Amino acid sequence: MAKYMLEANDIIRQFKQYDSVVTAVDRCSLKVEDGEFVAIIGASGSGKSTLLHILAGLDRPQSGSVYIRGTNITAMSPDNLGVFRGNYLGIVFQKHNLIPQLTALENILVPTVMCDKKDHTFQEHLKKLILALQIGNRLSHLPSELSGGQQQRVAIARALINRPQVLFADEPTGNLDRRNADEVLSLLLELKTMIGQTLIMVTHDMSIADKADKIYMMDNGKLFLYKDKQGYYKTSYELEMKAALESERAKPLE
Amino acid sequence: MSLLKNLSAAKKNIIYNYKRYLCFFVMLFLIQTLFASVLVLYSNNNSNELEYLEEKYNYHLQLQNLNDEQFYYLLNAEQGEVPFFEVIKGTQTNISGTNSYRYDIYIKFITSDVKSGYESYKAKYYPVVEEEGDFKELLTPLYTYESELALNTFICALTCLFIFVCGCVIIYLLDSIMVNHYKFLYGIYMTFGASFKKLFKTAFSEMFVLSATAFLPSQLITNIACFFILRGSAQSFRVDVLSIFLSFLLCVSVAALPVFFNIKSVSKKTPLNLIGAVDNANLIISPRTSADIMDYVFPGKLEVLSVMRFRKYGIKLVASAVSFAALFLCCAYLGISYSETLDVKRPEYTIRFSSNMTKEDEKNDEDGADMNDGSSFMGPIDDIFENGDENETEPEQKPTYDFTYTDEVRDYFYTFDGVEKIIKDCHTDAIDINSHIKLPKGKAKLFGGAENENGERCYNNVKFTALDSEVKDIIEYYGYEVEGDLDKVINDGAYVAITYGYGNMSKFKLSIGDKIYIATGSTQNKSAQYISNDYSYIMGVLLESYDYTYTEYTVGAIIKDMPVGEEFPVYMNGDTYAAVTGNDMLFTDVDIIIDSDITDETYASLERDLRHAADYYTNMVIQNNDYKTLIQIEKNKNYLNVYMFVAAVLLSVSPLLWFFSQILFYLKRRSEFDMYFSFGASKSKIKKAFIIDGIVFCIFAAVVYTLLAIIMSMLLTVFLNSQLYSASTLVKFEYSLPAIPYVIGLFVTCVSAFFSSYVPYMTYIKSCHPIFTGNSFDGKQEIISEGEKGI
Repeated sequence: MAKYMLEANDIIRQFKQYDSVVTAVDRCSLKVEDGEFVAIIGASGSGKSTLLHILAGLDRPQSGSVYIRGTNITAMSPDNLGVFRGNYLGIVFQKHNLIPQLTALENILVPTVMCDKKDHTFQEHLKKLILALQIGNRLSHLPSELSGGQQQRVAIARALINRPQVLFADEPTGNLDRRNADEVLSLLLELKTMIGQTLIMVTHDMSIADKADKIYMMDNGKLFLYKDKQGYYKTSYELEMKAALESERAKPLE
Repeated sequence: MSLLKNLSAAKKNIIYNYKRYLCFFVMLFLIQTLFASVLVLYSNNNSNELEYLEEKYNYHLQLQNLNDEQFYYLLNAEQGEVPFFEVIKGTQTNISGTNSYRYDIYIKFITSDVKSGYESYKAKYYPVVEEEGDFKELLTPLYTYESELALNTFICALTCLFIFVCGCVIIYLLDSIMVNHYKFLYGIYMTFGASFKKLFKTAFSEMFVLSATAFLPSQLITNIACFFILRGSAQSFRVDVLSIFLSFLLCVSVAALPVFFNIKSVSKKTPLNLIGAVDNANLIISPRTSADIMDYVFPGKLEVLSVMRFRKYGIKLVASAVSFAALFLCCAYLGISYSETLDVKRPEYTIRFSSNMTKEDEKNDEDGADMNDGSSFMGPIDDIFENGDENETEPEQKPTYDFTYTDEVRDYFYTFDGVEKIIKDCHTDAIDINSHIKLPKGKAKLFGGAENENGERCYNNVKFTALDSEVKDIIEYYGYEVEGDLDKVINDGAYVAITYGYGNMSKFKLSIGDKIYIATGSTQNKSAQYISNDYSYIMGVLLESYDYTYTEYTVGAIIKDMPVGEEFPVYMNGDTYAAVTGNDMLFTDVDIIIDSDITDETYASLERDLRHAADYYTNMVIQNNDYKTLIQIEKNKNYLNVYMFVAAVLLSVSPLLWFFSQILFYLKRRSEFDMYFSFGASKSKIKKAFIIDGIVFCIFAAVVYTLLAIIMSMLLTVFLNSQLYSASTLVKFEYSLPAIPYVIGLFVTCVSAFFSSYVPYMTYIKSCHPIFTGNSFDGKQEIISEGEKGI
């Protein structure tokens, strides 16, 4: 049994933009224990979404490795990674990314279809999710007929339908107003407790991050531990950040 | 169960998104129709061919000119417990001017494999028959049917392969357009666990359902079309279950293979990459070009610039859509060329005279003996035999002649009904007499022949051919274009006539009055050893091994469009021919071309006449080439219609690609036009933008199509010319762009290019918000004003 639910080591992700190379994630490492709620905060463009996508197996780093329950997902073939994602990971996007031509219920059931789940294995769970997310009267609606908050609830239900062990959320409240954002967040935390999963969330909202067990801060592609279960590490963070920013940036990789 | 579930899900998806799949359905329908047409026609043609042959020849082997011993030996042959042949009929004919008879016997092999029957006959009976004297053995087209069948099967397989490849390319293009459009969907599926296997299973199920849906209409149309095609040439039609099943299977494979590769490439990408690819970025080479748009006026220059912005897409679209229009042209061109080859005059009979004739013998032929001396069969078993000739006459006592082809013989042959033209030939291969021709430097094109140390090209693949006024008449009969004067060559031994090259390709740069040199003597300076059959290689070896002496001749005529195989003729008069080859001008090979509309009765009578002539002139051997039957079989297949049908299907792909691609493309650009509306563009300006797109695509496509049409038909001409002579069909095609197919292709291309831009405009305007278009407001005003009028 692996010690950590998720362990990422020295992740580097660069993008080529015309003639220059942008390092979005620069040698980032983090460890997440089973059942933890980890928030990654940082300014826009700091690389936090890119890091989350890599941790969730949606993108591949140029260098470094990501282990989930001891399995190196960066070394997996695309097919195996797909199956792994479907069975063990859940993802909530900031822009919901619901399939426009499918109804809310069909969108929720996409992961079960992709993973060939039998109906009886998720029926009960589906009912619970629908009840918890209060979308029972919107199931036959198309995404375009739902409000932003409702769309995000459908997206959360979709992410949780296969009972993933790790749920990744990329600014899930970013497109919502305060009231809706609070509702969605409390639902997420409620469901996290209900399913007993690990939650890794990217946000720029400090009030949301405050609820996390651990906070990582991202700045210019670098990742620092900002808070752990014992409290804030602002001083050490500032020192660490200063030292890190003065250190050499990752060279462009092949 | 899983498969059924997948198929059921695919069916629902297709019904729900029928617009998205309509194009695939049409394409799979066309592909299945093509496969079915080829296979159904192949099977029907084969059975019709066999029927035709069996009706015409109910025997595999004809043994001619048997004597009594040979004939009765075969007739009474003990074949053991399992007989392998039976004698179908026999004829007895009196040899003109003698008391002797010759016999023909017609044998049918009754083994399951005709070839093994023939081989058994060869092993057991042939040696004995051969011992008893000379005779002639003719295998009928019924015997060669099986080898023809193998060739037909090969051609059918090749055609299916061609359709398979084309089909795969088309489905790949369509599928990649769709996959490109729905990348987001795949990205989401993959995010939530879809693997390649899963995606492919889904995509394959959809394709399978589409193929299955296309099954009934395509088979129905194919069988009806084939029925009419075959009926057009009075052939019978049968429904072939195997062909129907096979065409479906091939269609499913065509659908599955491209989808496999497309899904494979999609599944290799990261989900994020796919989710993020919902804009037009994948269509644009350099989005930075768009930075200049503010300098331009909308829609005019701006839309032209937009075409530039999307040039990667435009090039892909035009290249793929126009190639199918060009393929249509090629297919139509092939069909036209193919039907031309069927109209080529081929010699039905080839007669060979041995050359030991003397003029005295000829003079002894006093009265032009009656060749129709009749024949009959009699004897104890005449109930199973037919008479060689119904007009029985008493055999006359006449001498036999050892003879060759003369004007009298020619005139005599022309008295036979059904003879259209007699083609005589007298030639000597240069290689047989260690000779060749040499062209001065600069008078030969690259490749072919061998260069001597002075840089002059030498060719030993020459047939020194005797030319007289009759041969000139034959050249005129074929209608070959002749530059210069053949009479000069006939009358003056210093002149020769030559072709433009060989292998149906122009090889020489000769003009009238140029000198060519013929090797008329040689001295060996070292031993020449070669194992190759290649003329150029042998020529090279001989040039190194011999010193040649040459005689200079002047080019008096060049025959321009004559089909020429690997060996080309150099024509010269009788004296020059004798001087160059050392042989007299004796026309030992004679071909007989028969009337194209000859009846079966006349044909039979002509054969009888020739056989009687052969009895008379003992050194004359007749070979029936059976072209009449073979060409009729080819004509029965009605391949011109098949080519045209395939061409039409290929052409129909072009608009399909235009519309499918453009509709999806403009769907992506909807928001762009919405923005133009939002910032003040009028409906007419938006319309103008679409029209500009249409015109630009139309012009671009027309130019590309014309270029492709010219290049592809030129290449096809070269290919046909270089390949057909090797397939012993001596036809030379002159390049010309086939006008009607070209115009049809151009019309379809231009109309598709323009309307594939304009139709999306109509759809866009229809579904556009009325605040932009003012559609509903206009309508309201109209009603009010009408009402006001009423008041």
